[in-house]
Amino acid sequence: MSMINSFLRFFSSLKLTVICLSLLFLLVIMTTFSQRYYGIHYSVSYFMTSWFITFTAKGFLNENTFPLFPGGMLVSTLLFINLLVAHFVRFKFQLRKLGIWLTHFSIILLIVGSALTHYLAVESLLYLRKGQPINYSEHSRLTELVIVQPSIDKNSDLIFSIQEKSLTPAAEILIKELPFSIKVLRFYKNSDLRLLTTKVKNGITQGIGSFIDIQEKRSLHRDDLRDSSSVEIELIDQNGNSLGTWLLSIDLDGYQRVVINGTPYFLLLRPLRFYTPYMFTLKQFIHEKYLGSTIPKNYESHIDFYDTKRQENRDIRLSMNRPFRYENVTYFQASFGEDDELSIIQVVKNRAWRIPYISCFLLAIGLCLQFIISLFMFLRRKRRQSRA
Amino acid sequence: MRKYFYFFCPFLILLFLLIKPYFEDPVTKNVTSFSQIPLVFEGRLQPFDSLARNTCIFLSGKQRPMGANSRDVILELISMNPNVDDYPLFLIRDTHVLDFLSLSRSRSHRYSFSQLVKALPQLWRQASSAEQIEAKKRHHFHKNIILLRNQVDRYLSLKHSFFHPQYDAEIKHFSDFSSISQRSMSLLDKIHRDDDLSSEELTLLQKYGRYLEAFQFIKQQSIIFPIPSTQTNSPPWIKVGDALLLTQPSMHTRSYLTKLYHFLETYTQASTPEVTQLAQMAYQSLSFWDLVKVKAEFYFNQSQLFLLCLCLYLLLFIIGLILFVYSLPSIQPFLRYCLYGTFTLHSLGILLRMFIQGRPPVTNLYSSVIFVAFISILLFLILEKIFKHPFLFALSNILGFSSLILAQQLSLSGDTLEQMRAVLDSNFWLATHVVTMCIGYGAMFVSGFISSVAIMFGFFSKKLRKPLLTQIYQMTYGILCAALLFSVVGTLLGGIWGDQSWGRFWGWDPKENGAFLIVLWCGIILHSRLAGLIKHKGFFALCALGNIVTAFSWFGVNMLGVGLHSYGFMKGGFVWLLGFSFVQFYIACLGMLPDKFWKSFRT
Repeated sequence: MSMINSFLRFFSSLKLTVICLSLLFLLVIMTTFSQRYYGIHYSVSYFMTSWFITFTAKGFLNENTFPLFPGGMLVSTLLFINLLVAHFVRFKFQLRKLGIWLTHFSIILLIVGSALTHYLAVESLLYLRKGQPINYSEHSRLTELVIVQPSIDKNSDLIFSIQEKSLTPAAEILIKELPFSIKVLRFYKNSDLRLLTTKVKNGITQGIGSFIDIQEKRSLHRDDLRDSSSVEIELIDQNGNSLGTWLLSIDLDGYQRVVINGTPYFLLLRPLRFYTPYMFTLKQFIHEKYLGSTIPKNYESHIDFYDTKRQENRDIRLSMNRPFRYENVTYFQASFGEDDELSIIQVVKNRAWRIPYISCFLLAIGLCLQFIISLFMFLRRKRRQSRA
Repeated sequence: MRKYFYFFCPFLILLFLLIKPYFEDPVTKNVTSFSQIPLVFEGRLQPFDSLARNTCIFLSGKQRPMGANSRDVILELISMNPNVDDYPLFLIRDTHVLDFLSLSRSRSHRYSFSQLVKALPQLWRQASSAEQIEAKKRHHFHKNIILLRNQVDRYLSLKHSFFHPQYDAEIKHFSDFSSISQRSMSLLDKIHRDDDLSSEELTLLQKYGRYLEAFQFIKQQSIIFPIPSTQTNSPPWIKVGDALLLTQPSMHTRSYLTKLYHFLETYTQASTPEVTQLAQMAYQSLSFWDLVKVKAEFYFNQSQLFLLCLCLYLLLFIIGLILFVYSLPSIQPFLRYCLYGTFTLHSLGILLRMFIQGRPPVTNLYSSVIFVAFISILLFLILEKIFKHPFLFALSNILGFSSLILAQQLSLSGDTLEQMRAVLDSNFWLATHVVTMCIGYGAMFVSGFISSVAIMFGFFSKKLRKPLLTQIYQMTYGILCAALLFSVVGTLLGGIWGDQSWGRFWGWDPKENGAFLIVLWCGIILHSRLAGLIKHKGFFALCALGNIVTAFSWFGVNMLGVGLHSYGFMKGGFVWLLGFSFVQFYIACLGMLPDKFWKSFRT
């Protein structure tokens, strides 16, 4: 019993709160500074959405990874438990502390909301070129290996996609519908390709890869530039015989063809795609500047939007500070290029987007309430003092 | 009755500054009238005066280069006065740039265009190669070379806004051109019919060609839009070159151009009515509110309200100090009401800026400093009402003038009334999120500032005893709670803005992180106090450290040079931030020393 008591006391203690807040403070500072060199995404994933900040030391034989500092996930979980336990153990409900109570409750909600967002939200980019209909968005960092089986009788192809996380070295990927398995030889997160006129001894037997000199590079960790990922694969038929090795890369445009049992298959490594039941066509992109200056005044995309499920067609206009929301997905104007012929739309799919709103509302009310209650109590006390 | 007189003291000084120009000599009066003429520059309708001031600041880092009035200098520049090339206008501090351009160092760090002219091709080449380097990786030398190139560019564009460099007596501008152009048209028809031209007619055509060439040049070079357009399907303001090349300019445009050129050629002798006529014509093309805004901006520039407030805050502080030292409490009401007056002027300045821009008070770093100063002083005045401590007046004066000095420094970075970028162009969110954040910053600074003073006071004097200590503690605590409230609400509003506009509530952008840091820091202080980890001294020390947190999230993150909130990356200032942080850190360390080191607590 005393064990449980001391356990509860520890997790509900204010000292733990102070420690957690201080750790979080340090983590936020580190995230901010590291952005200068590593970009937002990498910094956040290293400091904030990790359980431990690790340090990799190269030993004589192998690399060892040590946890150095608690990560953002661990600290916020601790804070979450701390708050939750404190609610049951320490807090006693009083009307004059209603504000405090509400504030802490909404912080719990905020932590839950951000955890849900972290696990549920997906961000991708929609590249719209004028007049070209498109029904998929692309991930800005992750890639996928696709095997396309064109079908002659139907209007659509069969596409098998293998996501980047499965492309680990020596992994053998078996897909039921395919007469072969894929063995991953090597995956390069970032690489440098050079096309040569003669064959290179790089172990690649098939396709254009045998003419390419490939060097591994460090990941760029940049928000504005994409790593050029590459993968070396071997296809193995059902009898276990090798069909050859291929080099696929983000930098290599075009499918590489392989014919097995008379059926052609096409291989490609490309940015991870998210297909949607909607068709987007960019009709016009407007890029306005203030008269006689380079200060941007407005970016606006006029898009023809077609929902294939509902057979519904409509015109939408996206501009800065005016996104388009459709079934838990938000589309907003992110960038542009190619002499204003290309409009880049950021697509955020987040089913938990309402939670922050609710918690913000409660938090603001709670704090205001508490502030006003305390101020009145203080002023009343002061008046009584001055009267006495 | 007397207190109202004191209240209006600062306004009397303002009035004096505003009516002073009306007692000037005729030529200066001419220039003053001309400087109220509206034009569009950098996408913004403004009086000529603002263009002149901002250009002088951009070129030489001063509103009054060589002690001369900026509008005189810029007027001489656009009217092609040959002396201007010899004025030391260009501020170059970087010795590497000076060596590169083989210039000998001058004590004022300012160089004339004729000194630079030989090195121009070199400058252009170096600047364009420096631009190839990614912005983050540029050295100071690269940045300064690009800056100097932009300065020279601005100078040349303004110089060629109205006149061609090879302008001579033969080309007599607009009035002459319109008659030539009509005759040339008939001559061109003649050529079409294969008729022969006399040599006289040929010279006329050649002259016409030279005109066209000159106007084309002016059109390409110019960056200002001073001519109101009456044409449909064209922007409301056009360049001089565009107006000159119109095939059928309206009567209004034609007479406006003629008057403008006449003024520029003869303004040193021009009689006042002509300038007034020109101004009247310009005003006619404006809507009522635009006219009021342009006028307001002119008088706003003229009054230099914030500079005036700076001087008054300093003056009041010094007078207060003298009163304190010689213990002369009899004229304390005088100080109080003068401070109220100065504060009202300060607020008036903010209101004027809001009116001119048609925006909420904070649109860039400069205006945020002015607004935060306003909030801090307001908080001090409220605290004074509750606690009745004259030292709060002294603190508000110090904070007032030091933050306005900072604002003056920031104003040197360019037009402080600039247009908003598309990303930030949302009055609703600027009015809610940004203003709330700034109130949070202000409250943080007030609590940090009072705590720092309390630490110094308690450490070095014996006067920080029980009732005073509790009072200071109470006010710091109250202000810190307010700071937490506004920072939290501001940060959350920022999150909602992010979600509304970009579909994500929190993006870990440096500025967002900064706001979050303030919230966390307040949380740490308040919970440590509740947990009994800190008492009065520790509370003061943490509040003093809070100043570092606030300064970092307000200015520091802008120096990182990343993120969406690019509304004011700072050029320098890093050393100052470091210095400020060091002082605050030192004070906080004093605050954490045990009781026996404190004079007030030593028994």
